[in-house]
Amino acid sequence: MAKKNKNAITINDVTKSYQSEKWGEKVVFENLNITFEKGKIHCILGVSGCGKSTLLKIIAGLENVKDGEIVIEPNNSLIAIILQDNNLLPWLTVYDNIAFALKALQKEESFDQIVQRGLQKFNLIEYQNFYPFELSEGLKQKVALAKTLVTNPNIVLLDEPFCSLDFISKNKAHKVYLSEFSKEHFTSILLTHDIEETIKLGDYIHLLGKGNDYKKFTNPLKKPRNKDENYQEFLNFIIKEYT
Amino acid sequence: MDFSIIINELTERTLYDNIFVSLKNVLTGFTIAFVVALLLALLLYEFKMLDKIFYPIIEVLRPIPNAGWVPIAIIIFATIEQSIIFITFVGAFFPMFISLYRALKNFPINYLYFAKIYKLNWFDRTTKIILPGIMSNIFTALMIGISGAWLSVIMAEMISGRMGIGYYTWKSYTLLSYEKVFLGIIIMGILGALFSLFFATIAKKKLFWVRRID
Repeated sequence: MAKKNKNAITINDVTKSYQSEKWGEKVVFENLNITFEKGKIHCILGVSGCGKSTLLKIIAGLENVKDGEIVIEPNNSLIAIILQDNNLLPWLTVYDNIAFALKALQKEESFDQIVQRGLQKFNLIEYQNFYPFELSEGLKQKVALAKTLVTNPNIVLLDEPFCSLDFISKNKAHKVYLSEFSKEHFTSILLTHDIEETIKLGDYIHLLGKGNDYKKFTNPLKKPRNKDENYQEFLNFIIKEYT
Repeated sequence: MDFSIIINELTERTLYDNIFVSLKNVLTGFTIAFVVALLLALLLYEFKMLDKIFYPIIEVLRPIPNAGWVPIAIIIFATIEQSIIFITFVGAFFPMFISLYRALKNFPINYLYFAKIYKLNWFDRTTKIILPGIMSNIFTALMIGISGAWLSVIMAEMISGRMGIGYYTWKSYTLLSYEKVFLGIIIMGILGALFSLFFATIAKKKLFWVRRID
């Protein structure tokens, strides 16, 4: 019997570069190797420009790589992504934005029921006929989350989805996200600059630096410290970067 | 100025026949120009090779003044009416094409990601993402295009027409009937403004979300 792969995503020796007319070839990362365990929340921390968003787009199949491979397990996994902005089509209402994904994925038979359930779950019933410009940033992100999760994805990729929210909205969004995660058990990768958010949400913390600088930690708050040999290294990173 | 001539002219059928001919010419040339501009812009957006070949050609043809096309149109087309429609087409096509081409070049990539994530085919991607996404630019193109078409049809009728409000105004000028020239100019202005108002009203109703974003 074949051994079941515990990783949902495996990045094998991936090299990504951009061709620019002005600067020539700009390498984002070279021979990068990362594994993302199934059913866990992976937070990726890193300085601006280190290629976090690019990595997410590569995993989602939105960008090509120069070299290496990305293994998604199982290979028919449904991948959903929430970007920093423009996650909703401005010419569609909240209802239609959520239904758009379901219709596109041809889950048409009962899409109205699924949309209604999604709207209820995220407390968006009263906003279903609103257009994105009529919503606050917090509500927009909530709709984006609803739109993403109603399709029952196996992998959820989030590119700093909560960064524009105020403290209270951010906490509410975290609760919704964690509650969905605990029910659906998808694999999630979350990009963030917020160390508090990382510790609160992540099972694993990935530090991505410029070039090939990469380290992976188990979240010290979610796993007993003495079992995590990287704990001190993680603390050193936080002290160095955030104090 | 003798206003009784203007009032008398407004009761004559000739004036309305001329207006009808101009409207027919402008709407024919404008509609063809819009369809061709939109299809060509989409084609060049989708196929980089076609873009590299055709865009430089369009950039060479674009600065040619509309009057410059008149002799060519008269030579190419069998009837005067066809050549006037061609001149109208030229007047509307280039501004509409450039407006749509630029809109597509600057199309937000995040919206295109939707198409990729949800594996939309070319038709769905175009009709559900791209066209709604550039709808405000389409209306801008329509408003610019109808002005171009209207200016061109008047000019073409003045130079080579046998009918139309441009021809009516020019003929009145050669017959030194300045009241009729004045009437012709006023009608041109009113009809041009009505065209723009028509598209502006639809845009205002349909594109409320764009105005709010702006």
